[in-house]
Amino acid sequence: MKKIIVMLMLTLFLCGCGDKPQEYLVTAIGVDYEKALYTVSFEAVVVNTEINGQERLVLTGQGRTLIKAIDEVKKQTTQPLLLSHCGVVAVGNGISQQKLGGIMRYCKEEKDITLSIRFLKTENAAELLKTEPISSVSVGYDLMSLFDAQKQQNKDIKNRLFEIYEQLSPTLPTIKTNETGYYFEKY
Amino acid sequence: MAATLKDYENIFITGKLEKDIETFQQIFKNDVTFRIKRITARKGVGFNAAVLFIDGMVNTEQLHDAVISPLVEMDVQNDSENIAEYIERQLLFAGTVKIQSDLSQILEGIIYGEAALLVDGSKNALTVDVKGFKTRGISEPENERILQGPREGFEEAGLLNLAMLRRKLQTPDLSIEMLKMGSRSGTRVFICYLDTLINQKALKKLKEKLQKIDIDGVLDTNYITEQISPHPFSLFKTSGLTERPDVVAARLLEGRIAIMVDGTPMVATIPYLFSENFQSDEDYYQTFWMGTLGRIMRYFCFGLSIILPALFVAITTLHPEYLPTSFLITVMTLRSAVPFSIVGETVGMILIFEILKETGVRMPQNIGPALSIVGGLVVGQAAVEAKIISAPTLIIVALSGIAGLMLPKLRAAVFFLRLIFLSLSAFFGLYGLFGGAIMLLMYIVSLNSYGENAVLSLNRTNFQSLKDSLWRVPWQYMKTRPFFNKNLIRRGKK
Amino acid sequence: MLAVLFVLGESIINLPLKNANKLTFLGFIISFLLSLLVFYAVLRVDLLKYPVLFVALYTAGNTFITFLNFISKNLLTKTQNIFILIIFLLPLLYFCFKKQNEILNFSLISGLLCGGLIIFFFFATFKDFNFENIYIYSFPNIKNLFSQSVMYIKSVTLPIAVLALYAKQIGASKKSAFCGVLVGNLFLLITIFNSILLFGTTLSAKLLYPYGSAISTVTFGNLFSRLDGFSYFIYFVSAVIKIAVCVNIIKYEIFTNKKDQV
Repeated sequence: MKKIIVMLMLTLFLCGCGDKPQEYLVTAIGVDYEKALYTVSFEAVVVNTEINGQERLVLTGQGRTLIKAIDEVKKQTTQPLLLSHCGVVAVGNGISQQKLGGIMRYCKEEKDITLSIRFLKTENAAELLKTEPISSVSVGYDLMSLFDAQKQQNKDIKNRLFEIYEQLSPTLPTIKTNETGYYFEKY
Repeated sequence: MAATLKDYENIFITGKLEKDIETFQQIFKNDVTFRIKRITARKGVGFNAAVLFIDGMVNTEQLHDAVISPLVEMDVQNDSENIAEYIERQLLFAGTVKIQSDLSQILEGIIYGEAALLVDGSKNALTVDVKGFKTRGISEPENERILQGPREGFEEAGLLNLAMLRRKLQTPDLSIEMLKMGSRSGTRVFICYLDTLINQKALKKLKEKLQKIDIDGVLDTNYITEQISPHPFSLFKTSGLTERPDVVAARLLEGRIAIMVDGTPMVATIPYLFSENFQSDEDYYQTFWMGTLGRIMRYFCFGLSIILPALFVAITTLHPEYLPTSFLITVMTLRSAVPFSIVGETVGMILIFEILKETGVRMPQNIGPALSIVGGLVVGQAAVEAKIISAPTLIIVALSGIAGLMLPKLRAAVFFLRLIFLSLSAFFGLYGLFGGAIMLLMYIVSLNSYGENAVLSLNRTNFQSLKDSLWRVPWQYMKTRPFFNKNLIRRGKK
Repeated sequence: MLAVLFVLGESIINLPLKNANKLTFLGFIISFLLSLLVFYAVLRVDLLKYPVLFVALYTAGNTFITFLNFISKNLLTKTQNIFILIIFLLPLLYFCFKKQNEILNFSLISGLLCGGLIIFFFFATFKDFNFENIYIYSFPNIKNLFSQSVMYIKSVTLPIAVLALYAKQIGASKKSAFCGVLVGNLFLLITIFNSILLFGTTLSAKLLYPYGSAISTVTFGNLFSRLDGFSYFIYFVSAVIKIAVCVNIIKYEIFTNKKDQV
């Protein structure tokens, strides 16, 4: 009897034991459409034990459809991608309203992505995500901070998924970068 | 030699001094503290007598002044068989003198610190109350310290404790009944209550249960309360324990029954409501704001101490989406080099915390503080720097442990519940945690303390029944007693 | 409070329903008002006891499956269903063997907690509400309104019927049962409004678990976000209470009948 109890207690230590795969926290998604191909970029933050800090990387994949492009991105790493912390979706100029609807539908269907994810427009989403972050560990965080700052100044922009989902042609804020940071080109 | 006093029942002294002395010597043949003082009274008719007592249990000065000296110096004019009654009424200066002939009763008196007087020719003996055993003295209880209010605490002598209680409740309504429990220890157990307030059925039931207890010795109140508890295996207590006379008096005024055991300062009170685990005596001695704040903090700390480690484990292992991103990254970075799983780390830390806590209690006072510093700072700090444990886990477990210290009455419950919730969340995440919380809530709600629901009684739920639960309303609004009372009215017309 | 939790049941997980449109909340209110007739009918007519027993059995099964589906698809996606079943069965069996007044006492405490959470989430999401989502600009189409009311029979009418039978069995006062039903449906209406005002009827109808999604949009600065974890507590408690009450109703009828026969 005692042995059984000890064995049961030892199983407590087995949960999450061993080499738990290092999860990649996806902070921003970028979608471009050019030459009949979708280019999806995932900006992810991962813990780097060597530098005892975090590391940022951008995973890119291409495909004829959005889902295929996303699958290509996921194939680039064996580690699981955690989409629940993704706060921003950047769409390139090549994305039409119809394609935007498809992206929004994907985000709605994806269980991990919340409906308060923000959408924005930029010239080239992949390029935007590849730029060096200015004030935090990732571009996604920088952009989320930008929107939070707007909100605090009572200039909240209605670009969250649930706010634009039912609109026929939603107007998204356009973000550009310069040496000092990000700014809204027009809204 | 017979083992218990019962074996000497219905055996009487003969009246022949030497024979009786021999009987007592035989009974106490292995007891070096047993003493016999022979007296020959020469004044008046003269008689032979002997005083039997146990050294260390009697006050020798009082024995000399009240018993021996009068017998030797006074003029005795009665030589009949009623000499014992004559001595009792006319000679002795002691307060409590009983005339006994049954051997078991005389023995009981000697064992409890009385002196027995045997007179040659009399078939009755006298037991004189000259108790003089040393006691610890009244001091503040270690485990129930308060900032404001009375500081006296019970001690080991039952009669002294009863006197302290009497001083708090100066009413003839205070009833004190005595039972003898423990076949070998013969421990006196006192049942105290206010006659006009208690439920007589509950009292009768309690006495029946107490009489059914068959044990050879009762050294503490817990020996009794565990045997009469309706939930002997419950993590939560069904009877209150306290060392403070003001607390016992307050509970008697609320219609409870107190069980006092001679030889221990711990007094049990029943019935015991679940909300009493979160009450402190200070709540009633300070302003109601402080009382309410303290009460709410204790409830909050109870939840925090049992759920926080489990919630942390559930969220970091199975539901990382619920953590804010920056915090999640910090946790992941700090945990990246730790070789153990988060569950193992948390369980290990909880066990170490408990070990440090227990060691702190049992260590001598001059080593305790040094050990706390070693355990807390050195071990904790060193372990984090060596990456054996992570800082977030240490903080969570420390916070949970400190919150648990707010509730000394629920120490065992908090420890076990913490581990149970931890294992549920380790396997099933938030789902297991909520399932466990629901079962715990249901279990608490169905607790029974000696026939009364320990949480609340729905058909009696009103403002008055909640006045002393999550908060403590000002005294002018405390108009009624708890719902199990015969007499609910505390103020005004009764 | 028991009535409140019973009414919430598994309905809180998936309301508003898939075919909801702008008139859905009106349909809900009409369905509730008509269900009150059923409530009084069950209280007064003894014969209705038998069909309501079948309804209780159906309700218990439906709640059981809905809740387990929700947990396996939403919360513990990688866990085997058998373990989810075991963890749900443990408190459920524990409840089914408890006395009536203990279940009532538990419902009082947990009902207050759940009610408090629902109201808290409603006000937490208030700043993002778009009231245009519930404006009705023209007179509602009767056929449309009727179809919306019929949609809520399973969520509103059936639980009310079962609750009426339970109130009759335990001898509860009609007033307290009615108040519980009213408050429970009010909370359901609040959850419907929560998702409609936030997402609009079209998006709410498309979402699998609209109320959970609504709560996940609540944020308090950068510290707290995705509070939908707390809503799982409400779902768990109300599902367990609903099934336990249905089982108690059936148990009561079976054992009472057997005693009569003996």
